[in-house]
Amino acid sequence: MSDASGHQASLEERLRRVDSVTEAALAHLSLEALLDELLSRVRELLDVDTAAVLLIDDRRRELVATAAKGIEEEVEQSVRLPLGRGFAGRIAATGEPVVLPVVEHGNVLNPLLLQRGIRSLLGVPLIADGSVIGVMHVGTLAPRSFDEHDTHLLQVVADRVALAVRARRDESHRAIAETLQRSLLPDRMPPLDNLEIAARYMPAHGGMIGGDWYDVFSLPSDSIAIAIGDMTGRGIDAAIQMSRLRPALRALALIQHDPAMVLAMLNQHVLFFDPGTVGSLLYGIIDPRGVLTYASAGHMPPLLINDGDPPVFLEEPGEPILGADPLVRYRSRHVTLKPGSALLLYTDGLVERRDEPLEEGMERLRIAAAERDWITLEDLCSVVIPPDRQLEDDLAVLSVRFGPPSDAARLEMRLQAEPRELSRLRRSLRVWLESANLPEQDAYDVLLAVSEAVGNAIEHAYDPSGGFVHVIGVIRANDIEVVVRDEGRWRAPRGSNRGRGRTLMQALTDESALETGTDGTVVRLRKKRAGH
Amino acid sequence: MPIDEAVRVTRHGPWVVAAWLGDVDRANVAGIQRETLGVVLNADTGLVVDLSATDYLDSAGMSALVAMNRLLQDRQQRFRVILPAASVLAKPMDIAGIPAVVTVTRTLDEALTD
Repeated sequence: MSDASGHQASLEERLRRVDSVTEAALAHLSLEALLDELLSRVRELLDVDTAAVLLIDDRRRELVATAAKGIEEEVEQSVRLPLGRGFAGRIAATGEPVVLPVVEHGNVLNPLLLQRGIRSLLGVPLIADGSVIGVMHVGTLAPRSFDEHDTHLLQVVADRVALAVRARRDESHRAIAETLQRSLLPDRMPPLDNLEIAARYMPAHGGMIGGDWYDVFSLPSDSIAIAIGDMTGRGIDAAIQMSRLRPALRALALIQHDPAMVLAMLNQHVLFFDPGTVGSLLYGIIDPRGVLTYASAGHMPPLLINDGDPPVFLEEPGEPILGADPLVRYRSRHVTLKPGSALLLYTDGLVERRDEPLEEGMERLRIAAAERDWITLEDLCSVVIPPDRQLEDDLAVLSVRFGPPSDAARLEMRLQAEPRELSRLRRSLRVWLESANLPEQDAYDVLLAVSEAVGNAIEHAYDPSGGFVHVIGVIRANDIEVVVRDEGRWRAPRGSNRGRGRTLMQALTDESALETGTDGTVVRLRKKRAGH
Repeated sequence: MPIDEAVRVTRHGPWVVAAWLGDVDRANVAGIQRETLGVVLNADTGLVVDLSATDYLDSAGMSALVAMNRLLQDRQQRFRVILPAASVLAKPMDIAGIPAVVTVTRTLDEALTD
């Protein structure tokens, strides 16, 4: 045994070397590389044979071997240990170090430790932000009495490791959650005639993913389903909850036509599969006649904006959120949407402000919709999102506008850039052209010319992930004009089809013009009406 | 419509006549072409594609006619297209220059006459 002062000096020296362990050079290592490096140095510092880090898997309440030196099998075999029992389990559960001068069957659960021939163990908790996130332990193949200096030293290293782990995990969780969120939110709205749709999702400041989500999909009965919800939970939890709820909603919507029943079943779904999860949800169906049937589980009422009338909030059923009460009953309500009226669904991130009653935010929303200038639903979404919105919460907005073309003279279609959409295009064009009363050949000429323009966009505008093609047609007294617009970048033409297509477009119409730019291409076609 | 309903096949001696029914466009032309060529036997004199009951034919459909013409020529077989004068398809076919490349007749009799 060395004298106390010599031991002290050696300890200071070792602590200095610990500092070097966690210095700048390690800052940009990945988690695995960092742990690898740290464990090597720990082995050297403490003169031990094995060193390992296990992290707690929150969802499964287990310790997972994450990095190891000298006992790599632990990681290779993805060893998982329960909390509260055995050596590592106790450390994690109590948050206190444990020393095992003699390792035997009775005091360790992990068979690999014994297999490896470890005789003594020292373990400390990894603590970040006041909670245990894992365990770090070191072992020797020869018996060793770890003293409190060893424990202290290991704890110092462990504290640094805990911080590093926490920082990296947060970052990767955020990235995963963001990816999940983006992939789960429908960025492709179903192209539906007679229904205009626009939506926005904005994460909280700092990119922290919240539980807001929405969905729009068509149902086999030619009705449209709309949904908006706000699940409690943050980050990856929220994204996971949403990833379960959204497909469940769609599946139920296919077989159950009453929104109240859908919510009731979804409530059971949440209670059974995700107990402890709660959230609000508003779900409704708009049928082809424009009747909206909806039910709400604690979600804020949608705003109805009728043409010419002041915007008004729909009735709020006041029924509880999902996941709270197994006995809850929901009731569906009906509203007939007048053609041209818009419906706005939103989450509380849009209207909630600290130190302000919710009603004030809702009134502010109502006024914005009433007084600000907007024409398309995209405009509406833009004007209702306040510039000074609460940044700690995320926000989702979904708006729909139903209406048969009030003007038979106008055609408006949004098609996916896929060949199978061409038959839908022809169907609508044929109906629309009937009202123009053109001679049969002229009508066919327009039909073919427009289809060729759309066909070109389908073939040239987008990469394989696709996009939309917009067709707007107007019948005027003297002529018919159709504009075909895409938002892609046309690639160079391939194949001989296109040559024929262009020739046909030009020869079958009285005027044809093509304008192509970096953000899209516009084709204008004009056909004079007989006698003009 | 399903491919087997879109192509109606009849035989007239050594000629096979395939009537294309309904709309022919980019989306379905490949299948229609395949179905049509599939009914031509090695011993047949030739193939006739009958557009009398075709409601719509776009540039992709026209290209298919040109391609089929070439394919059959390579096999020393004949290819004809029936397109009534009154059909709205005739004008676009002319514009695209198809009759210069493919033999287009007005009636079935004309098509089957050597």
